[in-house]
Amino acid sequence: MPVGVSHYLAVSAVIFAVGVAGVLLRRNILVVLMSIELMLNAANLAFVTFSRASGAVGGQIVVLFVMTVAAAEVAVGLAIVLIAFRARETTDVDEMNVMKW
Amino acid sequence: MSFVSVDFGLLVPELVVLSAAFLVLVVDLLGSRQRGASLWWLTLCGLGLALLLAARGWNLSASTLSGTFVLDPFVSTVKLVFLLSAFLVTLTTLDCRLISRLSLGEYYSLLLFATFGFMVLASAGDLIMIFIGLEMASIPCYILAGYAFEDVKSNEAGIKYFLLGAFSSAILLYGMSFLYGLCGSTFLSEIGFSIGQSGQKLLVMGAFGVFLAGLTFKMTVVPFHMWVPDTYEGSPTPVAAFFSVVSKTAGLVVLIRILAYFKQGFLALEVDWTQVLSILSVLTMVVGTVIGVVQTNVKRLLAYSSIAHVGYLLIGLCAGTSAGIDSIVIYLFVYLFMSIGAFAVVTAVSRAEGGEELANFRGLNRRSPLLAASMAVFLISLTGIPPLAGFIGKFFIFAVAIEEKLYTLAIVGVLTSVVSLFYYCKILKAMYFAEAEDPGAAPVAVSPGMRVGLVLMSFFTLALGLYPVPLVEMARSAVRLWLGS
Amino acid sequence: MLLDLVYATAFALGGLAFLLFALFLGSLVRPHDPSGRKLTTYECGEVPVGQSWSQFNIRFYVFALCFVIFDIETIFLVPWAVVFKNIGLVAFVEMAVFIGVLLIGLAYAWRKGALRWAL
Repeated sequence: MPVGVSHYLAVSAVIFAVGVAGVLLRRNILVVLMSIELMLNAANLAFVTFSRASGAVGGQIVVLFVMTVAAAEVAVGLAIVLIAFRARETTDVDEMNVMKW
Repeated sequence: MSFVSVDFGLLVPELVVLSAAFLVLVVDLLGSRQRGASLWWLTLCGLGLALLLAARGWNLSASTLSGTFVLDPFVSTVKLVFLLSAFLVTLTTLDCRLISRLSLGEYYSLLLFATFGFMVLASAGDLIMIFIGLEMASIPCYILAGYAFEDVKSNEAGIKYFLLGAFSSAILLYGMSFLYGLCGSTFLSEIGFSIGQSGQKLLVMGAFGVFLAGLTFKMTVVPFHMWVPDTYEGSPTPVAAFFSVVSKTAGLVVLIRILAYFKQGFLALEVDWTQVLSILSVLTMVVGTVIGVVQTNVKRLLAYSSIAHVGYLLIGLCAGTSAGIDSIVIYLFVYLFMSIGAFAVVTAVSRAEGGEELANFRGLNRRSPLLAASMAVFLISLTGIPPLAGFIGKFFIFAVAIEEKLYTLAIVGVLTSVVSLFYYCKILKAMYFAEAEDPGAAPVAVSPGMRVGLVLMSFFTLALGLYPVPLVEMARSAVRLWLGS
Repeated sequence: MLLDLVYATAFALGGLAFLLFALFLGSLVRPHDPSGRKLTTYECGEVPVGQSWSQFNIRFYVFALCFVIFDIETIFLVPWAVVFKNIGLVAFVEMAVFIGVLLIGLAYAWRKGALRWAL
């Protein structure tokens, strides 16, 4: 049973699902942030797989940009979380509830 | 070996905005202490120049960067919406309570960077450019939402916007990866061509469905709207005004362009998204309106109203005809003036009163007739009562809906407009018929920029209502040139 | 295919065995003389203080960010370097603009005092 496209895609789907579950279920912002990174990397894996399978390099270029964007996103996200932590001494998303409805 | 040739002539408006952003940063670093005003002028000049250049190259149809950057009259028109919004937001920024004490150099440059990102997004010709444009726009927006970092609400707005924005970007990207996998290309035109050939109906639907879910997050369509009220309420008000027009427009435009590219493919596969979009549209209109009714915070109320307006815009997309897209373009221009205008009044009132609750608007007519009158114009226009511009926008949307026999959508649209009258009237009543809590309160002071901005926006809201012909003509020829080419 | 798995498993087991064997050899030769200092956690020659879950100084964060900018830059530098000869001067100018933009960012952080250690 050679390792083929579908295996990579399955791994990618599992990682993506883990990421989504993490975003929806975990309460710590930093863990949520990591889960979002997992989702991005799942998409990256799918892009590389498809690129490899079809021989079109577009997918690999996407991955380069996604990595850059992810770094920028994390930098900004951490900065925002940091300020929140200074104000509230917590990184629990449920505590972010000044505004409701 | 050939390399990518770039026709910089097509990128001029974008490059002007980008240069202005860097110039603001550099001037902020090197300038003297009293540099606030010069940064403000620099931003306005940059945006104004870009506006002129974009308007001048309006009828160009071309692509560059090996087809990843597409320019056509429709895209140029949308860029005018972005640039005008950014211009008006900058004009009314100085009165903001939350950020007027902070150094605004970064604020202006982030606003310009975000505008640049949205412009690139609108022009995107392939998946990579869509993702990069989206992120170049979103990341500055996250910071802008939390710009008043000492304010707990603003910070919370930033966090909520960031988490859900990044989450939706990831979902969008995953959908993209499968679109790419099915078609072996990142170019929208090639994908549109090859999804028809692929014959994988379910996979195409799944991939595009995931993509659509990510996109509707950005467009604040209802099942994915949870972040909107909180983000708008917490953000500095001019930033909320910017979001209320620009980010929705950008998402909608991407959707319109992708549906146009994929039209043949979807036809070949017999996939029809009209049903899905109609349901989303109805949900968006109803939820935006009904939850808006119980709001007591005016900013939050406007946030829900902006959600409802996305529902109206979606009707034009459901129609699936070029007339539908005409009506969307008309609506966008009309909506721009009234939405940014209403938020601008909130900005001014909130600085004088220290809050944006309904009670803060009581007796506003006594304290500032200009603010009260322009707010009345914007609110009546948002409801869609003639002879103001909002009526023209809704008229064309509903006319298209009836023409295409989308009666349910038209009826829901009219009904929600009637209900929305109720909550806009609450503000009107407070401004004109309620006594201020403190009768001796001083008149609300507004900056010259705010004054000019309010007059401009009220003027356009009135003028486009009374004489909409040029706008309608422009929208029609833009869409015709785009779809004809 | 099954053979591949056998190879892989054999390699893994071989690697593990090699490690254990080396440690075993070492234990035969080395003197056994535990003292308090030797039994503490090895931390680059520093005396370990407190829990490993300690809070890092927040100031590291800014430096980490500045590092990330130039770290990620490499992603674009490598493919650029690979095709540099084919594209020539245009590539050079474009990369110069790109790095220039990053440098503006660094200069901005510097000038705003983000790189100063004292807050």
